Amino acid sequence: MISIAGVNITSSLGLTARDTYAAVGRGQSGLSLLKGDFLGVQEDIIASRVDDTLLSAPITERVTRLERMAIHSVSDAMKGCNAVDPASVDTIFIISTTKGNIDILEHPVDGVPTSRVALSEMASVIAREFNNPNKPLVVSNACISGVAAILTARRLLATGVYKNAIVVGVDELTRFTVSGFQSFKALSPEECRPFDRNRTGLNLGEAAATMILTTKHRSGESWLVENGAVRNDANHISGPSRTGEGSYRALQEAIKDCDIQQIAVINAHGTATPYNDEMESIAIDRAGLSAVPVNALKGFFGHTLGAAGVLESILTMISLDEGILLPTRGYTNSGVSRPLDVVDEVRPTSRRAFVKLMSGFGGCNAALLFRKEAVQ
Amino acid sequence: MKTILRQIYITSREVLLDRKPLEVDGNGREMLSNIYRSMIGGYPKFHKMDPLCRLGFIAAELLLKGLEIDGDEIALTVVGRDGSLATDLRHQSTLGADSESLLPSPAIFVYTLPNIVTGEVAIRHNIHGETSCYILNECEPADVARLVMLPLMDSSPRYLLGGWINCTSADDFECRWVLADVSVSVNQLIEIYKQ
Repeated sequence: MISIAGVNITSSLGLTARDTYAAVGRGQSGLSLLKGDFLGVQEDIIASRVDDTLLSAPITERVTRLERMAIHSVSDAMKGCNAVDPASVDTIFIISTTKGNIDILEHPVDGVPTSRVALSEMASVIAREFNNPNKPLVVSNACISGVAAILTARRLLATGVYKNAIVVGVDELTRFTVSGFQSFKALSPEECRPFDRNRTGLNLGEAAATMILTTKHRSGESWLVENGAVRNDANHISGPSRTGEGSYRALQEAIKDCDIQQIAVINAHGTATPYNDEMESIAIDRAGLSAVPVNALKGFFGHTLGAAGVLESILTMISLDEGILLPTRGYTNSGVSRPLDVVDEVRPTSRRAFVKLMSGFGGCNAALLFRKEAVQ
Repeated sequence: MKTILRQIYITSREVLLDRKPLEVDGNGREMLSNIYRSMIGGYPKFHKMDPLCRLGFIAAELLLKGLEIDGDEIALTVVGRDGSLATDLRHQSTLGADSESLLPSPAIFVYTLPNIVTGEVAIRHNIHGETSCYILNECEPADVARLVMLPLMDSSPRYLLGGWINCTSADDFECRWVLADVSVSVNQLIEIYKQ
């Protein structure tokens, strides 16, 4: 069994998972208006940013802002996680990111070579900070990276290659990425509204999030990464499938051994673009899950890219620990063709399992099943 | 299920298919275009692809040619060092020094993700199976083999496709891919990636 031994969220709403969750619980959003001049892009955007002045991680070498976010996230996740030694040969670092240090192409950092734009070099800096002896692995699978990284960690632990995995998702708000999404006309001029009739696109955000996975059994209850799958639409490189093919197939595989009655919620990708949310509604319906509550958390952070899968899984875990389903901020009226039970306000639940759903460019889709269980 | 184990090695100067050199014209991007024209053709989307995608497209095409494999049974895994860096630099160069510059091109931006090559290959061969993209610092055969075999922990694949692919620039690239049925051993894959 692969269980979760430590977590962190470093976001616009807080620098720990607890603080971030508490802010979400209060209905706060990290989204705000960011002047175009700030990033050097044409139009103002609604986005979420991490307050990096408060990052307190110890730093032994010159790092970029993105690396500092990741290192802070791992340091905090390690607190109270004595079972896992980050410096052990049994522990691997798995970094999930779409663009890593891409910003240093435009804004060089004193003492950081431009070669650190390479994702593997960025990952090495993070692993080195914790004296980890293994080569870190980078998962760069567009927007599903975080979920794909957790699945990869699960597999590497299940096959006994390592005993622990430190999964860090991280991406930064940059001119590179924002200008690209603007060119796609994918950004919403207002705070995003997942699954809503009046949704007008996505917001971008930045974050780091860490999930520490281990095969070491502790007494008591733990969250387990139970199953998961990645499937491709084989349809389009930048648009979701009209039939939700890949997402449907990933869902089917992830829940194949699971009693649907036990699933508290499907935490959807829910970017609030017209096509993504419609596609997910089709995939969920086709998988026979339309009676399961669905929520999406992009209204609190925007789309945090490589961090999103890790961040949103952690928040959903904590919410189920608290016995509630988090509301889909920005949602009022259904704007998708299939009947979904979108969670629009806090709702109690006693169920102990959830599905995390993600989709991304390149036609990739991922689904993960998490469950809380007493580990013997 | 047929026993299949094919391999391809492509650099900017040569192509070895199952260890036999393929007759090719030119070097670098020109060589890939020539292979497309002389051996593939009929897929205009090829010309829209960035260098990394063209390389992966050609590799998959040559490996799967003449085989009747259902795309649903394939798991595609790519591992590289530079990812989409060549196209990242192109996108970055379209961003002017001030915010008044023209908006960048979505046709370039979409290729600034290293996993787009898996999407292009999936579309071409109707692969609804798992597609994954990893970044490592170097092409260490044992590491690449281990990643390519990870989809075996999923119930669906009957064939594994992929391996190392790296595109430093449009004219400087390397690809070591295999196509194997799931009975392949990790040692067989390591031997191939070593060559």
